[in-house]
Amino acid sequence: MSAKGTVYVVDDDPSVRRSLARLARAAGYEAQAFASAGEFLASEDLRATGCLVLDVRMPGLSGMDLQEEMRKTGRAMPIVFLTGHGDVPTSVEAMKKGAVDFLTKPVNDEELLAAIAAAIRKAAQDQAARTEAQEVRRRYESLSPREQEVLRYVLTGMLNKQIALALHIAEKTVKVHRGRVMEKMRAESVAELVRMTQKAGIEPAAVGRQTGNVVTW
Amino acid sequence: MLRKPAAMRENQQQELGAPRPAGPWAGLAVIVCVMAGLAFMASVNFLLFHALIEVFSVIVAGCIFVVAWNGRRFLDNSFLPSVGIAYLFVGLLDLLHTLAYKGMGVFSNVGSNLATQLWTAARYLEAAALLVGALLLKQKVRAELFWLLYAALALGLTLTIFAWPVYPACYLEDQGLTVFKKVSEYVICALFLAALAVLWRGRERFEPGVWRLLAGFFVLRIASELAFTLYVDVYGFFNIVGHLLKLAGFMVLYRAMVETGLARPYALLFRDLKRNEEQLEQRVAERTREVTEALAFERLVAELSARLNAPAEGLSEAIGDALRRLVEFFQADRGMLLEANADLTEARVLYCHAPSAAPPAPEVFQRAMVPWLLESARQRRTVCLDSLDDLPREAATDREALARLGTTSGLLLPVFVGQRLRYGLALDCLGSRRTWPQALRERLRLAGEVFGNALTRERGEQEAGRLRREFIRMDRMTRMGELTAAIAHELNQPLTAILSNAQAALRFMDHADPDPDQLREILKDIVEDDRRAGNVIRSLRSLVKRGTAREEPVDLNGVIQEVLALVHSDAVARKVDLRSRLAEDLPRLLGDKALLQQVLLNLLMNAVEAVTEQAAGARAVTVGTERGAAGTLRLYVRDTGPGLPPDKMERVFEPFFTTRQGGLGMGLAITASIVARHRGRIWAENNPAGGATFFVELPAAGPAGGQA
Repeated sequence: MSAKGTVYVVDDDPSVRRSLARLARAAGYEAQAFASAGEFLASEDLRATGCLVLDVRMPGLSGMDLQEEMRKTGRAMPIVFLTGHGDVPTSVEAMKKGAVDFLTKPVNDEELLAAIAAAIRKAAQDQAARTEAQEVRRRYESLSPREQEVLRYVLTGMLNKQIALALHIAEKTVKVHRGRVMEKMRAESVAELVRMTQKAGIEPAAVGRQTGNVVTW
Repeated sequence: MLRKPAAMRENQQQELGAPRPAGPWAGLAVIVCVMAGLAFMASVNFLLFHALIEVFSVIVAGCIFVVAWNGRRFLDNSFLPSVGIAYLFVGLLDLLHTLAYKGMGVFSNVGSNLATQLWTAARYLEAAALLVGALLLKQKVRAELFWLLYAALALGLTLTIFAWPVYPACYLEDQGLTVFKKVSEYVICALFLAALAVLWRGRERFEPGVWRLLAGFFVLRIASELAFTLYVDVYGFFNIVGHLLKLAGFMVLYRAMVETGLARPYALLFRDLKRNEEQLEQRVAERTREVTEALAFERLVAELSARLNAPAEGLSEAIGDALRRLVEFFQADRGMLLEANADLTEARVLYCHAPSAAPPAPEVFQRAMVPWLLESARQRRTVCLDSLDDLPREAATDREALARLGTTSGLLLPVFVGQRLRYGLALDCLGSRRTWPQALRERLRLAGEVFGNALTRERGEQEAGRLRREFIRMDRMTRMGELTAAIAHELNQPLTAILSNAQAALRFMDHADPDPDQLREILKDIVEDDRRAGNVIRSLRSLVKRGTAREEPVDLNGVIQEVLALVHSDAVARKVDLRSRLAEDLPRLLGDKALLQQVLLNLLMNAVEAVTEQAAGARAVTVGTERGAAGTLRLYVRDTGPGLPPDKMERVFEPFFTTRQGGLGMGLAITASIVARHRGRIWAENNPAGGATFFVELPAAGPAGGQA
């Protein structure tokens, strides 16, 4: 069952959170319930793939506060918001900040479970993406400083000649570095390299005004 | 009341009469002896006999004159003056008759005719005077007229006998009594009879004893005159009998007039006076009774007015009691206070004081039932019915309605407020007729006004009370409106839990091996949440209920918990830390639960408003209970808001006082009015560490209330 993922329920109403956790379990998820955002943050288990079912209105940190807090600390998790009454501005803001869904209490099980399923899927994707990014990062860090530099210039779309000119090195040397980068990064093409590095958050080199000249290849 | 003094007077009369010769028989025996003696004397010396009798009658005549003349001022009729003055002249004629009697030798050369002429003249005068007196029994004529009349008559008669002998002869020596004389006697008898008949018709003006004597006198006199028609000789037997009867007559007359007049003047002379006095006394007694009743009534009205102006109990009780007192005062059986509607189509019974046996009065009298009575009231007429027969023909419908009510005698007083007929006061008797004293009827208007004022005031109080209750309810509804979202949330939570629990259970059931323990737990939770939702609804219902305040034992902590459940999510939404510190084992208090909830709701929402001005982490409201001094409960709501301006501590409970923008300023004023209704006290203090605390102190219910 744990294969389906974990649902973290945060609601100040003990009865509500118990029932929501039960429903998640009945649908085959692992479920953990927390009485407040603070309690959740203190005991958050990031190793498990999962999603949050979060009450908007809570004493202390509200649901929205928790979302913000997690985003800030880079521990984002797919969130299904629950609210007593459909409050449009709040829901729009929550969705903008990446909430999976914004549901009104009392919530029908199918609706809630569909949202949870989507959130868990997203969590899995996020997890996969995170794992890939970590791998790319690891590969990136295995590059020598010069190779990293060349990579970031490659990402800008510059030709070898241009890179050589920018780095004040020989075009041949650039070619060697480039080959090694492609090998170490296990990229089949520049396009794949770009996609890969984007996910890992590796920025292209800053090239001033010349960035305007985009060259297609 | 009048009977007794009259009887006493009767006794006094008998006592005054007591010194007379013992018993009537002794007196009669003396009279008979005297008569026998005189009869014997007549056979020996007729002249002496005659002279004695005549002189006696002359003296009696004189005495009558004296009594009548001197008593004339006390009499309101002319019987006695007429008779008295006449008797003076009758006496003079009788004296002349005596002196002229044959054999007396006073007048020379006279036979029996002169004396007989004088006799008849005296009798004419006497009989005429008695008739005139009898005719004047009921009126008063100036005594001088009698002097003139009788002096003229006596003088005329005397002159016709002596100076101009035109007076017919009465006795001729060769024939005896003339026809004139005999006819005269019959005429005189007829005059006596006529006088007797006239007097008989007015006999009630005489005291019974006097009347009997007077009647006896007439009978004896008539008998005497008849005897005088029969004699042939002036010394003869019938002459003696006639004179003896005349003597007896004058003795009786003496008893009737002179003796009574002197010994018991009030029986004769002052009888009218006495009767006047009695009438006066009766009038005085009546008047005294009237005045006493009027005074008693005025005192009653003053007392009722004072009580109704400042009733010790409720005004309604005071009005009911006043009506009862009025009914009792008038010795009526039933009293009603009615209120006419604006278009006078009906009159509603506001108050009714009636014996349980009375037919039930309707709550409303429609115009169709009592059209005449309503119309009379509209025309400001007080209707007084000694019996239902006093109703006019056109009031047949009213009569029927009253008969159905069992009314046999009644009174309806319209009470106007301004120019409009507003109320009516009805008193009636069931099963008996009675007269409503005129004097009191008029004074009743005063009572009507007193009731009118009281009823108008009662109406005002009722209206004010209704408005106040409506105002309090509106405040509550406003609060509820403000709380709608929070209340919806409070209901939504258990509903959410129930739905999710139930759907989870359904899914567990679909599993291959459902765990019964888990299902049981889910069902338990569902039951619990359903209860929770039910409690919210119950709190709501008690808050929105309409209706009059009820006093019942209330658990203050329970009230607080219910209100906290309603306010909880609102506090959460506003990031207010809401806590309660409730003392355990608090006694109950007597009050209206909904109103007490309102007090707490207002204080709590005020506090929540106050702390919202603070930073998110510093918003705390604490509601608590504790035992106050001397059998009181204390409730407090403490906040960490900005506190109250020290100079406005008292003013916060005034209507329309507000420190916030957009606030109506009624919340605390209404709260204070509710607390006052529960005989409690409310005040505010600033906390040393900032913020304000509102205190409410309420009297705890007695031990009995606590048990209930």
